[in-house]
Amino acid sequence: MTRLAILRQKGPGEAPYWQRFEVEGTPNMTIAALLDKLNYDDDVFDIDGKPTTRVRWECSCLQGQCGACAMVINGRPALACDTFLRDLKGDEITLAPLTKFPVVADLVVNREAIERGLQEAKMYLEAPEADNSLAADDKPVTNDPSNREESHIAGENASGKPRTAAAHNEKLHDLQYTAARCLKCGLCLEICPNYVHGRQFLGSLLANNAFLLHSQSEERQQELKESFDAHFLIGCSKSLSCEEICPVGISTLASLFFMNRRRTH
Amino acid sequence: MDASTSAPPHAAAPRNVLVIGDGISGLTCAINCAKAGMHVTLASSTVPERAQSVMAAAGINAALGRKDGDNPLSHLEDTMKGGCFIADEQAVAGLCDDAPAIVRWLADIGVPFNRDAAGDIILRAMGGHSHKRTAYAGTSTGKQIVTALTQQSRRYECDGLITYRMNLVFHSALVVDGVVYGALFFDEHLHKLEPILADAVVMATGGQNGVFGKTTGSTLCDGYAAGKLFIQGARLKNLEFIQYHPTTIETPQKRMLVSEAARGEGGRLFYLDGDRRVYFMEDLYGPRGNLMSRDIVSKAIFDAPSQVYLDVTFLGAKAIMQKLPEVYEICLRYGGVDITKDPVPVAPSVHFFMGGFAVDRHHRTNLAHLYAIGECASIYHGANRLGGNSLLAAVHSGRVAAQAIGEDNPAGAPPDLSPLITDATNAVDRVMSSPSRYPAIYVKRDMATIMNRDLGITRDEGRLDRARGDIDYYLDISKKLAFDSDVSPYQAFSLEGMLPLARAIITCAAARKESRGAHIRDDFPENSPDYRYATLISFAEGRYEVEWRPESQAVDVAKDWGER
Repeated sequence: MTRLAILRQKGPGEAPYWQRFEVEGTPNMTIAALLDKLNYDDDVFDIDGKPTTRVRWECSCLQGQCGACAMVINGRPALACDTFLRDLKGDEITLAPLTKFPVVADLVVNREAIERGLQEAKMYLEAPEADNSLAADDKPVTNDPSNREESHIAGENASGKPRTAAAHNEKLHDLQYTAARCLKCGLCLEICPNYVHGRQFLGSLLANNAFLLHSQSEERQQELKESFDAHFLIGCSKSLSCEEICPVGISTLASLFFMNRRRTH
Repeated sequence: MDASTSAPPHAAAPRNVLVIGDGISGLTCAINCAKAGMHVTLASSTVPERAQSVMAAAGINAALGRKDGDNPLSHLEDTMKGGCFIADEQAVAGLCDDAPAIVRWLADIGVPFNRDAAGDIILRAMGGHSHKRTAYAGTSTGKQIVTALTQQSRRYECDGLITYRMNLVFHSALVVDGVVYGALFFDEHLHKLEPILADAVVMATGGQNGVFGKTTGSTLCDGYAAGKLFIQGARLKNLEFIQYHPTTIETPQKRMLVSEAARGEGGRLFYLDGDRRVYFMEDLYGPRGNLMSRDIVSKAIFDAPSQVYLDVTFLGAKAIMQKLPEVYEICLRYGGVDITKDPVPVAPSVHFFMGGFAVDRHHRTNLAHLYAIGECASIYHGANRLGGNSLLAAVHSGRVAAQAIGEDNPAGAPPDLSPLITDATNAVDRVMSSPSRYPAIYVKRDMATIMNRDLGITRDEGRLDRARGDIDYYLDISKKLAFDSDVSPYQAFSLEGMLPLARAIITCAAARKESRGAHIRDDFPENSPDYRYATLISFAEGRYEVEWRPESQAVDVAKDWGER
């Protein structure tokens, strides 16, 4: 039997409380599998046998690719679907919602601030080439036969140019690829000593997005640098706890290095 | 299609478009509408990072035709053949013609496709394709595309052309006399319904996974939206064609996909006869046998006399770590198998739905001003989808729908919708105030058990009859039961869409008395020219009515909306 202690909360603004459960877990189960078992094997009872409500948590992919199930497991921020019982120590597993975001219910938090913050920091790509390449087709995008040309053989010109000359720089390509895998899960903000919900500082999540856009953008580099300064650099104390916690292995240090190096040019 | 080339002919004021779902098709449609000057509300229960699109691993197809003379016509032929010749050829031609421009556009907006030393995009082999034509970005092509699209959509959010609404779960369409004026959403945080009105509504809600319980895909794609709209008058199509992906592994939380890239890079399937390895796909179909289309491989694995394994060990650890790191990671972490050392036991599992909303070539449904795109729409894949065509269809359908919305007549002023909204609000309030402790998910679990049991890789009349009887029972009792609503009232009201969808899938499967693509009948093992049509299904006062038509005539579009 696996002992679970879960920090529960009925709804926004309500008082949180700990509740304990016993679930039959096996070493190769993840916390996600354990929560599913707790919720839906049968009606739910706490450790004293008292009937209770089902524990709310968020999930989508169940395999570490989407970031939905971020929570605090044994005091450490992690993805539930990517945390195995075999790797957890102690007699009891504690599950709590992320502390840096408002609680919706139980282990579900409202992370809307991440998306709104990225919008406020204008983390977008100006891509005039995209407009050109679409307009250059000079035909509507349609399945309508009356608009179709003869099937054309797409030649070299259709190979798609890389976004920057850097595509041949393997190291930069790898960094861009990894940065683009950001799940917006919020684990890096949870562990960050400086992130506070609602403030301008958006932690490594912003730094890595700024790096990605900056490295892809000839058009907005100055603006992105300023945004990087205002939303990241000014508040970062370089604890770099975000480096270890990122579930897809994005290196804030590399982003920082890249942004700093570029500004000396 | 910038604003100057696609200025909507009828537009006096910019039209308001409601896009429901923020995966790849929804984002693409929203971006293209905004680009044409329209106002878009992008509504989703979550954020693009959680959409099932991020899980698409193997790549996106385009006949980039460099070294081996590939061209869109060949892509068209393979797609038609893979779909067993029932898809609308003209629509598929549009898809394949658009593919090179799509990949070029995606590269332009920052998708880091893998490239060779000369800077050309590398193409990989996938099942059912006569050429290598699948472009990919590492092992997370879908995720890389989602990131690039969010970087575009955010630009229009900053311009005020896209309004992004999160935490909204689709409840129902606001439909009066076959005309759609908007949709109702359940706000998961505020716990109440909210109407959003629009000149055009686009469904981009993904596949029907939830009807089968946990599949390889996202738990968020549950089929409710398609089922609810079916009840509200939308015509669905080809629901019997459900793709079983041949290679998935069992884990304690779900069946996980082993990407087709593993076979594209050379992986071999075998079973053991005593100590002897039988490479049955190669025995049956020759050296390229492991890369037959998914319907054929899944059936062969299903027919194998013992456990089937996928072997990539001979590629060597270096090549595996370089080309298939995600496959390595999934098998090791979740399945406990090191694929550099051992073959991995695999079995087919539900993966993709070729069926969905019946749409015309402009992605219009039979309900006026309602469009459907991405996996929830049924148009390009016929009886079986080829690997790499789903990402392509997601982007293409978003582009096509945006173009059509700019050209079609917008919905006029809505009639009084308050009775509709009041009824829906009262119904949801009843669900929320229910004192019952019985969770709706128990019914969903039983539904999934029935569907997996009787709509597996092969079907027959006996099993389909049994499934119909069982689902009818749950349809009946779910109307009488009250459910636990402390998880979310959505758990309960979503049954109102999912159960009828399950029933519709069974009805389509029973009606098609032949074997074609992913629909294999033990009692009708042959392919029949009598069924070279689309299976259309409508809900008419409680009856599930099936009709056969050529795919190109699947939808009659209202004259005053946009008949062409």
